[in-house]
Amino acid sequence: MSFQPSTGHKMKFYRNTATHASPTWVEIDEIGDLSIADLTMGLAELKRRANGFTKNLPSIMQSIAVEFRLHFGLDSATFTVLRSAFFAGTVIEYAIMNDAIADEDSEGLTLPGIIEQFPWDQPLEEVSGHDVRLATGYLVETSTEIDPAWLVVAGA
Amino acid sequence: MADLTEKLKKLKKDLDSNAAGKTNRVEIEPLKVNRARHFKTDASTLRAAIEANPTHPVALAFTKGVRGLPDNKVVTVEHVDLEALLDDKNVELNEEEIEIDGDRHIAQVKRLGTKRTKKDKEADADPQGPDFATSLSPSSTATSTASSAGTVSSPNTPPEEKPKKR
Repeated sequence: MSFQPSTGHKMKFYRNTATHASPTWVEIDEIGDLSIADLTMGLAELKRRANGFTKNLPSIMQSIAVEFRLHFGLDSATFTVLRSAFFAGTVIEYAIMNDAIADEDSEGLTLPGIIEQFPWDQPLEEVSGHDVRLATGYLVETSTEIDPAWLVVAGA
Repeated sequence: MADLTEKLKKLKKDLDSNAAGKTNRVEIEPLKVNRARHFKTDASTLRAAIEANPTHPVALAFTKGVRGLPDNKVVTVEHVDLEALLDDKNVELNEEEIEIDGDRHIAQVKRLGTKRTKKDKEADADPQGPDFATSLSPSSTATSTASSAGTVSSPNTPPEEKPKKR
């Protein structure tokens, strides 16, 4: 899909089950809303006598957070992976894409993520599930630290 | 007059040199840009490819990738990785300057390399686990063939870094 307006239900979310060097992307599709909730540049305020305005200098990217609703009772394999990753503190590489990761011109954010929150909601009259929150994780593979990146899928 | 000509020559040279450095802008950008061509298949097909060349470093990564997945699970891999596995070739990373949406990036481009030699296979058989086996090590790029778009990342790695292969 080219760069155009779209709704979230057409967008895709993946986890990398192999290595960063030779990834194998598996879709996580039994989810509801997803949001890159925190994507913030750290700023240092510059205030001085010589100018009447507060200015900001860029510092470093703050911790990126991805939040999504994982429905309980669907796709047990993915559920087990995420639950285990949460309790073990395992860092997994994820891709948040605007379309299928195999499709030409699709693009999105990849990042090593650690599951920060995995609460389990059991409301009386709504579908039970987990509001999962991922945060940027520390992942080193073959002595190379894996950073968040923007992925653009090339055509043939 | 000759003095002026010399000065203009030097100015042109300096200007050219300045133009060569115009990618500096992206070098302060913290978010890398990767570009890859992908191939969609299923776990069962990928297992067959692994079985055909189990000692290839990519096979070791893919083995981890399909572990625990049902045969019909759809998976997406990088085209160049699968091609290297099937053709028993190395995957090489080269520093290249590429353009994405009008922005120039100094990038690592992943390309299909040469046929794996006995020496490559011995190096890959190092018993330090699959992650180690998929590591990148320095190699010549003279014979690399442009295959897929590969993986492109920029700009944190200095352009003068030597090419690498897996």
